[in-house]
Amino acid sequence: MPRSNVMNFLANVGRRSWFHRIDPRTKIAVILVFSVIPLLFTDWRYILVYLLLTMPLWLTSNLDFRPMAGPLSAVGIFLTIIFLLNAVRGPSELTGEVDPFATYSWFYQLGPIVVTSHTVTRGLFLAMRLVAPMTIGLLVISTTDPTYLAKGLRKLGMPVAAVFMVLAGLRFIPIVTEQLFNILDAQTVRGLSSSRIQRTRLLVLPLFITSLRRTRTMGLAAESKGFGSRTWNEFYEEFKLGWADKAMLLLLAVVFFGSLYVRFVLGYGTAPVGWLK
Amino acid sequence: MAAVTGAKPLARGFTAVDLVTFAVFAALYRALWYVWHALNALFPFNQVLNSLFFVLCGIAVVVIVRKAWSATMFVIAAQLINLFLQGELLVAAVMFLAWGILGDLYIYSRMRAGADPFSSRRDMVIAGALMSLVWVITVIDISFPFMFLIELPVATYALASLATLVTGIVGAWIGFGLGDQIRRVLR
Repeated sequence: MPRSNVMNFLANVGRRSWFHRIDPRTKIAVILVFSVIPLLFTDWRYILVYLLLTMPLWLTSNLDFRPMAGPLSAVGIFLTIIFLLNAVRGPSELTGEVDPFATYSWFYQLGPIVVTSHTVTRGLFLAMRLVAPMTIGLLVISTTDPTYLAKGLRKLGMPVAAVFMVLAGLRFIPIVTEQLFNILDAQTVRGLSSSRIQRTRLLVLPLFITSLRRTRTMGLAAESKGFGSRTWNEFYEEFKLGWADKAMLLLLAVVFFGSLYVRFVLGYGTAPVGWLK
Repeated sequence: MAAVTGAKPLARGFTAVDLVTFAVFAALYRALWYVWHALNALFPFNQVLNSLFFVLCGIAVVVIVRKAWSATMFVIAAQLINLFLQGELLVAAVMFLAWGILGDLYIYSRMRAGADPFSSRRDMVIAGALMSLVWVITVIDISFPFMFLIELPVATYALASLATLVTGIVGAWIGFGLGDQIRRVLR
């Protein structure tokens, strides 16, 4: 993975779009809805609706996708493996006990490997249902300054300690990762063997020590400014829900309650997908 | 570190330096993902290394901070990063918050008994083993089959659980040495 993709995941924060401008609390609501509701359904057509619902957010956020290629491709690889693990099966799919939930219309067998119409459908569904939950956080983090996000979390009542850790963690990931690559470069320059295990072994201690030295600097700076003596509830920015926030929250409420109604009152959105019937 | 800074303690006695330490170790845990990707370990085989690095970072941070409930604070930081950066499933992230609880309870009980668990490799390895156990149960035995619906033979799950538990214990052993070494270097 190119290092620029690792270190520049915040590269889109400075761009301008309506999604950049909306209140961080609204963005957190977006995460909550899209990371929970799609998991209630097991029919791929309903999952597709949620994917389509998130598309406008991605397409209208004025994003440069190059810095996000790394995280997005990591999600893509993960979902591809989920698909393959469920789609590529063994002969028991054909010869096992008769399972009315695993009927298939075609199959392909190559030695011990069996793929059926049912396993492909199941694999596709299982990968699809994770797309929206696993990417919506990345969209929010890419369009929100970490400080602003932290203030939004604080406004929602999250404890100061947790908010401070979110802020410090997001700030430190690019720094720590850059340090990691610097150490790897230094190892290369010094002619260290290309054994990945040896390089990893020699990487850990300097990486941890250099990172911890930074924590002391940042922690002491925070404490010298009286961190912990105040509740950090007042900000110079005005946190106010604009029309875009209200429209988005209304839409999220419709999606949320509509989904619950469809799934639990009408009983739609379920399909046989494997061992969890 | 709190003694060094003399700062006013926050909730549960954690200072800003402690909180940043948790956040940085959580960031390190995230950064180490790139290392095991470089080792060409892909999901689900990377989970064996995942537990090693998780417990390694968790025990190292506990040894450095030397306060009760440090493992849970580290896990909270890790899951917040997991949720926002990786896009972890919310339900999974909430469940994963339990990773440090058993280890912390053990450390707390040892502290209440008058021992100094942070200086004892035995205590730290036991705490790490408990963290690894919860990690295995929540990740391998619950989230894979029931959240990600990955259908694998029960024997495969059992083998993966055992292997992951063992690498977690190895991570605790390394983490204690690493944390102790770092602490001495930083002193």
